[in-house]
Formats: sequence, structure tokens, C-alpha cells
Amino acid sequence: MENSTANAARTAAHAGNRGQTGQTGKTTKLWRGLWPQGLAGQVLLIAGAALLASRADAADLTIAVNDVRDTSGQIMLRLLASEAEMAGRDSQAAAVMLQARDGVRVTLHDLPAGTYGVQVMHDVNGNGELDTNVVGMPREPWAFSNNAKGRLGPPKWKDVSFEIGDQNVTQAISLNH
Amino acid sequence: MGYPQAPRLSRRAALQGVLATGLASPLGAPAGAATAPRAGSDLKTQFAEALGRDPYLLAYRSAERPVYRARRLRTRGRWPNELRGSLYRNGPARHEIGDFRYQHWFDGDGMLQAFHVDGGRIEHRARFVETHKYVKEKAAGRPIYAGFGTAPPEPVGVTSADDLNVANISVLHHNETLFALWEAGSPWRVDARTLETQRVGVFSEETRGAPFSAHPRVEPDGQLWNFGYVSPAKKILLWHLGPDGRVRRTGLIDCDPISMVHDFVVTERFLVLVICPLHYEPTATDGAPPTNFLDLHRWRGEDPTQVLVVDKNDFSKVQRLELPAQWIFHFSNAWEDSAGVIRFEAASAADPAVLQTTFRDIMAGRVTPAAASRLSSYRIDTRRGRVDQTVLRPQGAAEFPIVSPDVVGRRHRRLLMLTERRSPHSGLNQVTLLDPSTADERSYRYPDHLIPEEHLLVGRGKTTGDEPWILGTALNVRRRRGELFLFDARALDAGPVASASLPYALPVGLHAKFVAA
Repeated sequence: MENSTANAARTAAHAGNRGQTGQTGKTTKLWRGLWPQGLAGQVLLIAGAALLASRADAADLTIAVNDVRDTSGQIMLRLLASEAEMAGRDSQAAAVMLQARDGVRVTLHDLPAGTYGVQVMHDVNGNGELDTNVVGMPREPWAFSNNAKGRLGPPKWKDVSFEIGDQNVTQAISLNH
Repeated sequence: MGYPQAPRLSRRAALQGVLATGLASPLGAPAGAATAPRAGSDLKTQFAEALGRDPYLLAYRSAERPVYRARRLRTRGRWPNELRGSLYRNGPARHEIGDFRYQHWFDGDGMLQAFHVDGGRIEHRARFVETHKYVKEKAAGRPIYAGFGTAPPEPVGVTSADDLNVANISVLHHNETLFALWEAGSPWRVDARTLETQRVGVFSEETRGAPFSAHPRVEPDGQLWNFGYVSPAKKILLWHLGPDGRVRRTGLIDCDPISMVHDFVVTERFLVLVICPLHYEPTATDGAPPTNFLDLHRWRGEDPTQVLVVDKNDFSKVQRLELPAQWIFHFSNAWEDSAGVIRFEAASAADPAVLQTTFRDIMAGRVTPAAASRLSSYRIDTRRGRVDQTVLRPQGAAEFPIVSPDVVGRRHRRLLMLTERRSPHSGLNQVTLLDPSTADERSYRYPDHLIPEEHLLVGRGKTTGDEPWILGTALNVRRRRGELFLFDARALDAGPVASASLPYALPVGLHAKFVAA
């Protein structure tokens, strides 16, 4: 299993600035335009801008994405630091785009202690969105940390969230199809 | 709260986030630990004891095998040579998994039946629709999902309504394809001869997994219209499929408050949806945690019934009218008279007690009477914005009103239905053919040991005249077997002209369709 690593704080600040330059474009174009396909390594994009504070009580989070049935497109992954972030589109913590491959892993370093969640989607057709059907149900694979599932809909934050203290954490997440 | 989303990189992208609208799932039950109001194993014991006392409860016994086949049924009377085709039936049939018995009749996994009729040679097959739910729960040996009206212990999370799809309501044969239908999720494709489950039906990628009701209306030229309710979003999805099975158009219309909507009607110009005030109110749980979809609804008898008249050519054109509170499962058929007035009939009850109480209690073997549904006629004057309702048949209960498939959206002069007359089993025990314009009717009352199911009008074809056959099934509780009966519509009251017997009994089901060979 290959590992991708990223310093979330440093790269997030960089990508966040770049992201602001593209306010008028569609998400699809922004994703593609900012970070061309084939960037060295599996970490194609880190966006967001909140994890700048370096803290003593920090740890690494490793996320493995399983049950990836198709190598087209990208795995898009969002680190969530609050319930509000889960509801919205703002990523204050970090966002990562990975090449689609079963068991693909990424490690986010030096995350401050706190409560987090992870959203994963497999953007199979590479349009930068989780495609949905006419009534808003996902048509592409998706998942949450703790492999949380809702009842007839997305899970709740209390089921998605987990704690990071001073010990490194691993989340193995299987996609829902 | 939404499914995973791409990070916001522009305001416009955020506004395009369809997931933020909460259009997440046709059904929408909250998370949380479910506690079963009645343990499934207790229900199983109660039902078994009650079945020993009341032979009519055979109708609600779980099917004993996953597959049935009888290569040649024993027949009586004269089966006409020209009657060739397949009578398909669907209905809840697996009511128990392991020691657990479902807490609502509508939770039973769907079993398809086919009577392949070739003159007097009749073959019967039956087989469960192998939905995700059926396959997973069969493997687990216990229920693992909360259902329509059932709360099993420790249900697992579900990611879409299709996780709960039991494909148990009706069948559709369209574009040479047979589907088993539920009402809040996808249709299931099934082999028309063997009834083996093929796969989830997908009409287009954009509509994959979207709710497709069990009562699509197919016009004589093959144009198919349907709807699906999306309760959490308070929307109704409208479908138009061409004769080739391709999606011509879909549309979402607002419906607030929203209810479970089982059936609808179409005319040459309009779709008519009737929304009864059994409101989806996920927050009104009276303190107890809701554990199933049905219990997220409250009967609001003081509220009106909404009538939505939608332009077939422009789903955004919706005329909204009101009727008094009532509960309707089924409509006959709609048409527009020379003055442009929309006319149709429905089986209408004062309230949905049959859904909320009777179909729960029957799982314990308790027969709880509920408000009877009676046949009403309706007139919608779209120009004056008026809708009127008249009780057409006050003398007794009626359900499963149906017309011949060749008059969908056009004037019908024959309305077939099940009715009640001195029933020994508190259910419908008579088949009635009514001319709605004259109120003339003919009936055949089944003997007391037979429980009839939905009956159909079956055309004889152009060569042999237009008086149809009537074809229907009944459960024989004395001999504990299913029966198929054929009537001549000109002489329904004279009784069946032919019949055929199964060598086994299956539970009573819901809807049927006849597909001519």
C-alpha cells in the first residue's frame, strides 16, 4: 500500500489563496485548472486554510479508502472540523484529491487535537462534483468516517465525528455504492 | 447535513449544490437506536396461535417456500382457446424472517406470481423478488433494516430508499420488460417467463434510484406517466417515459404538506394527484423515537385533501384545489368530458385507520375493523377551479377499482372492483362491474371459503368482439390453495365460466396485470 503524505497546514494555506482567485468559475474548472492531472505523487490537491496554528498536542491522521471499484476519476476527501462544515461546502480544515485506487491512503500531519470527521466521494467522471439523481441522491460512491450511515440519508455528525488527541489515528473508510 | 460534497471554491458552485436542498432520499427517517414496539418473535407466536382459531388468517401467513411452480394446473369449465397470455401478480409474501415477524403487512417481501395461460393449459410460477433487502436479510437470517412499518432490533443504517425496497406492490410490463414495483424506490427487472430477478430498473442515469410509484399509468399508445414522492424535500417527482422505455421528461413539483401517495390518474391533457392529509411530520413523534417510516406520519383530519392538476406538457403548470379530508389508496381512471371537466372515481375512506391500525394488527392475527372505503366520483372543473365529490356507491365497501388498459386517460364505461356484501371474513368478498354513467352494476359474490384478490378486465381482441373477460384470483381457505377464476363480463353475476386450482396456498397480495401473448 502506497502512502501519500501532506503537511496539511502548509499546503492548505497555499491552495486556499489560489482558490480565491477563481470565484467566478465552476467547481469543475477550478479543480482541474488549479492542479493539473498527473501532479507528482498521489496528493493532487489540498485546499482550505484553517490549520495554520502549530500546536504541541498534535497528531497524524491516516485515511484509507476501501472498496474503490473503479480507477477513473478521483477520490475527493474532506476533513471536517465541525458539524457546520459537514452541512456546508466550506472546508476550513483540509481537502485532498487522490488518484482513484482501491485502498488508497493519505496521511495528514500535525493535526491539532480536537473533534474531526471525514467525507469521501469518488468523483468517477472527474467533474468535481458528487453527481446526484433527479431527487438529490448520490450517483457516485461516497462515505464518511467511522463508516457512518444514516437512515435514509446522510449520517449525523455524532456518528461521523471522532477525536484526535496526541496519538496518531487511522480511519479505514469503505465507499457506499 | 448532506452527503459528501466538494469543497466550496466559488459561490456559484455552492448555490449549485443540490444536496444542500435536503433532497436526499424519497423516504426520510431519522437516525437513532430503534426500539421495537412489539418483539417480532412475540408476533410470530401470536399469529400462529390466531391462525389455529381463524382459517381466514391463512391470507397473511408467510409464504413457505422461495419458489413455487405448478406445470399444469387442474382446470374446470371451459377455458377459451383465444385467451393467451400471462397474469402477473405481486404482493407481500415473506412476513417472517427467522423468529421475527414483520409489524406491518406492507413490509412483506414481494413475491411475483405468473399464471401463464394458453387456452386451457395453465402454468403457475411464483418467486420472491431478490431485492437488496431480501438477499441481505436472507443471508443474515434476521431482519437488518427498519422497514415501512417495522422496527427490527438494532437496524443498520441505510444509504438510500432502495435499501428498503421490497418490490411488493405491483407489476408493470412496458417496452417488452417486466418490472416488480414498490412505490418509494426503483422498479426491479424480472424475467417475464421464469420470474427470476435480473437487476434494478434504470430508465436513465439521472433518474437512477429515484422513486417510481407502483401505479404508473400507461396510455394506449404506450406513453407512460408516473410519480414518486420525496417526503423530506416535500416534493413529488413526475415521470414521462416513451413507449421505448426512455425518459422523455421528469419534473419536481412542490407538495407541502406531503403524504404517502399511492396512486394517481391521467387524462389526455393532465396528471391529477390527490394528497390526503396523512402528513409526513418527522418532528411530531410525541416524545417516542420514530422507528419506521409509517410512524413519521400524522393524520390531520381537520386539514384538506390537496388536489394537484398538472399540465402534461409543462410540469411547472400546477392547479391546486382542495377536497375535504379523506384517505384514498386507489383510483379508477380519469377522462375529460365534452365540457373539459375531469372525471374519475376512487375508493375513499374517512381516515387511514386501515393503514395505521388494521394492517398492523393483522400481523398479530388480530382483525381490527377500520373505516370502509366507498366508491366516490369526482369532477374537476379546471376553468372554474372547482372540484366536487359524490359518493357513488353508498351501500358498501369497495376497493381495487380498475378499468381496461385500452381506455387509460379516455372515457371508461366499465369499472371493475372488489366490494363487500355480508362478508364472513371482514374483507371484500364480491366482484362488481359498474357503469359509472348509469350506476348499473352486476356482481358475483364469492362463496364464504374464498377470499378474492384484485380482478382485471381482459380484452378479447378485435376478432372476437369487445366484451372483455374478467380474470382474478382467490384464496380458498377450506382447501388451502389458490384459485384462478374466469368470468364473462356480460354475465358476471352468473359466476365463473372456468377456473384453475393451485396445489398450494400463497398469501393474499395486492396488484395484478395481464399481458396478452
